[in-house]
Amino acid sequence: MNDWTTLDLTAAAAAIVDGRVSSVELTQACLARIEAWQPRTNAFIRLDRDAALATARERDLERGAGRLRGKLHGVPLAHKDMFYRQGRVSTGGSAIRRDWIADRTATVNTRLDAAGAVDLGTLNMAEFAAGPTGHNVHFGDCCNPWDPARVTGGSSSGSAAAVAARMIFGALGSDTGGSIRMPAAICGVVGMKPTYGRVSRFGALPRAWSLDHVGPLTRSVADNARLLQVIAGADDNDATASGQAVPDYEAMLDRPVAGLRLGVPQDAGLDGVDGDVIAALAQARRDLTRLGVTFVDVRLPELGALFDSAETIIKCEAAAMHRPWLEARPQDYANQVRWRMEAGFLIPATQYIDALRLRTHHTQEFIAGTLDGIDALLLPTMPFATPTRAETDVERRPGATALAILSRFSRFTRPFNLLGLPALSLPCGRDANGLPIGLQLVGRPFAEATLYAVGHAYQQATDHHRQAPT
Amino acid sequence: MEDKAGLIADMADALQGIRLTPARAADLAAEVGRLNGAVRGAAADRLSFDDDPAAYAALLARSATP
Repeated sequence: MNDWTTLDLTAAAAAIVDGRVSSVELTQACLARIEAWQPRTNAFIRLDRDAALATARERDLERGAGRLRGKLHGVPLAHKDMFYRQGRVSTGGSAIRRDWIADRTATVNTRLDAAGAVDLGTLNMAEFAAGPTGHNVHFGDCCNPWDPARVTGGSSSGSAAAVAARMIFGALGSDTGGSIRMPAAICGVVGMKPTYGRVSRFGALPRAWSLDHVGPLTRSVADNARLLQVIAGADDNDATASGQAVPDYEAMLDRPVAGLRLGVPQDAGLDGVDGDVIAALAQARRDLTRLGVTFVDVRLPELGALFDSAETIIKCEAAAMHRPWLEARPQDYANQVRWRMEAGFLIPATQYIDALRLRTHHTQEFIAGTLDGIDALLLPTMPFATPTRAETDVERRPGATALAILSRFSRFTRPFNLLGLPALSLPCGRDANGLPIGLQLVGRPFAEATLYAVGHAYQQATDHHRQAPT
Repeated sequence: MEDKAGLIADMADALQGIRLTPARAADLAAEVGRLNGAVRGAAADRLSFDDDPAAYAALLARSATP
């Protein structure tokens, strides 16, 4: 009997189109995989077994009648528990919204439904998308499928864990400071934070409106391109969703990469990065060089300045949106989630507005400076090997050590939320403990296709993305 | 620093209705001071009267690379 969960998303979709497998068979295969892996990972918050099978049967009937809804017809997916579906509970990983029923459907869910996807349920996440590790005191920590004692990364913890463990063919996450890319790197999958505005945020639980990005996590770059293709584009319900035309990302995957120029930071830009990460990046550089990519040294700006502007914006926006709950039921927040917002009540409005105004300058300087003459930037996603859940548990074991580790998680990710530039994380090796390492490609505004082309070429020449936890 | 912690505690109480312990007020004073200083410094170097936050979206659109 075939184990259909070994297929990646595009192969599974093709098997349905060809009639080699039914949507019901794919869904049942995923459900069996979930049964085996959920106890080890806690990746799902809610499993909608019956509804998913009913949808799968409907998709099979449609296919039998010669009607395919779109590029995801019959393919089982699941998403971070923050993309609303009208009439369904959407917890946001929180106690406060444990029973909250959404009053609207997220645009991304509408688009996935229209493309024929089957929704298997909702995935674990950091409380209110506020945490880089995958800890959750309300629904239980999400555990890394490669080693349950280690973190998944967050806040899209369940999305990365479920895709890595082959429980689903793809997932959506959100990224305000690295929340797609960090768990993607740590769990060994592909994660895209698109350009700000590339994907509608309507119906997605906010963390900080100005810095929130919605994007896919998948096993391969080709899978990722397909999911982004489905969800990207303008939306009358979200004024920040861009009207820029959405390219055919899949058709552009095989664009030649020979001759492309990637920037790498001069030595000081990687100070403090673990040796395993540096070595994996160096190997990726050699692999890409064999494909004809050339590398040039670039100077990174002071990332701390970008980090501080982003922090100012996140804290102020989060404090404003959470104020009623923080006043009425502060005990229902994890301490670290509440603490991370409190400063937002005390930062003057002028500083918040200046941080927003500075964004244009920082982005312009980065495009004209660091990205000048190159097609993309190559960086680590995470600066260190994956820590354990115990050593990063600031809720149960607060202390300077855990806080110091947490503060370093988003060193290479958060700046690109401020700049709004597209950034793709993909697996490129393993650390000394056998946990995945991710590299990050950062591009110009709306240049997702270039990042996908480089990533796809890299994955055709390497097999990091084919490795799965056992 | 004690003065700043006291100021932060007073502001939190008077403007936001938040009661802070002295230790928490000290932590927040340090955090708010650091972020304010960083933004003020960057703003002094870059911002002028006509800088509009909405220019950011226009910049992304103008710099779009297919």
